[in-house]
Amino acid sequence: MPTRVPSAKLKKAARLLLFKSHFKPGVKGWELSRALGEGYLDVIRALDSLLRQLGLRIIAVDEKGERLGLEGDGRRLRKALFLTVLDEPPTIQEAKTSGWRIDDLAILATSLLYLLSRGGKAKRRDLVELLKTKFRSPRLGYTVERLVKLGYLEEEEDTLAIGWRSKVEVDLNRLVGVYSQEDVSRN
Amino acid sequence: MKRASVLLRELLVELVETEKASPDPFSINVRSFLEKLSEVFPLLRDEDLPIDAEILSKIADIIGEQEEWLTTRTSLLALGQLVALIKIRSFESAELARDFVNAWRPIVEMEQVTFTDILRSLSYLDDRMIFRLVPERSELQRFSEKDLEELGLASKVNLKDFIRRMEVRISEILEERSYIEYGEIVRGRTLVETYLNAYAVAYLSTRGSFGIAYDPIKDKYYITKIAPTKGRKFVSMAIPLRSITYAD
Repeated sequence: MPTRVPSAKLKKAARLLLFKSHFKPGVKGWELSRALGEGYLDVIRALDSLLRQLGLRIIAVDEKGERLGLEGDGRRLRKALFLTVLDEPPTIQEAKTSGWRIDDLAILATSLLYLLSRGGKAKRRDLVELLKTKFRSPRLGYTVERLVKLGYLEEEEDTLAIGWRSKVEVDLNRLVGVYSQEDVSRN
Repeated sequence: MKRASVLLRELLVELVETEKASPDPFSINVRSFLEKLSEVFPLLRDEDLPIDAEILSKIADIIGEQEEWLTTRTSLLALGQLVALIKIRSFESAELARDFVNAWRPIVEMEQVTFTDILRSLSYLDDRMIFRLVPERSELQRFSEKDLEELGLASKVNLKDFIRRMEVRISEILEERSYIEYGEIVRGRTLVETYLNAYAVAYLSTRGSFGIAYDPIKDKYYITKIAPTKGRKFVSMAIPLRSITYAD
């Protein structure tokens, strides 16, 4: 049986979504609509089912980083940011292969846990002091700067907050390890 | 004025509709319903009392839901904060990293080098004194080989000899076996030695001294002899060195 060849629109959508085009990853719904036509959501959904076979998936998030369903409100989706993410968590070895050090991952985990315990934001000085007591790494300052630059942490004057990328990529409830009844039934 | 029974029924319908419209128990204004009910109460007749009781029972259920919501949410919030702090205090780096990775679905992107990236790289190199591309002084300077070594711009290793020794080493092993695992040859005692070995193997295979084969099932690379075959197709491949740790 011949292999089904993806349509030209699917290929175009894959290029748009996978190739890095801006500093901040992802493509806006209206950009996809302009490139793929009004039925862009059908193309994206078809690409999503193709990518799922490869362990990837397409998600749409609003400006706050909240996930929106691909079947959801078309008007909100036009303003949403479409991204490709892994469908399953990577292994530690895979994370290392893509350039992450164990210490960097632990620093990010600690920062997020601390910020979550402080309602989402904390003084930069307090967070850095806490990290210094836990990690002796001379790269600490550099790592925090890198996490800010990558969008995992957000800098607002002298405070650090949970960044948009953490909201998009990290299941924060799972990281803390506390689930509500709704989370349990949803999963 | 409407009859008390009609007012009561309207109140019940409003209560049921509001409840249906949103699962959030706080979307219902309990105080307002109770006030309306107390206004109607003096006008009630005996036959209206079951409807009045039904409304009160519904309001009691809603208050119960509000109480349950508050208890769960507040305890979850407090518990979450506590667990987060305990994790920070008691978990080692590796455990924190593992927990993070389990909750992580990273964004996937394909990186590419753009013209802007090249310009940015040149500007970066120019900002670093030792790599300055345009000399600050106008006259040209002559550097000795030793100066270049000191500046880190020239290698202290004699690459020609190094590559020759590597070629002999691989040839000797390949006389006994038909292939060698890539890591066996490339893995050095230090990171620099590993890089040098990888460079020498890459150079020799590009020159055609040996072949590199990839086994996708085992995800392993091998150094092989090259059989003289006509029409051989040459391809380039990138071998990630991060998976090869050095001995120390």
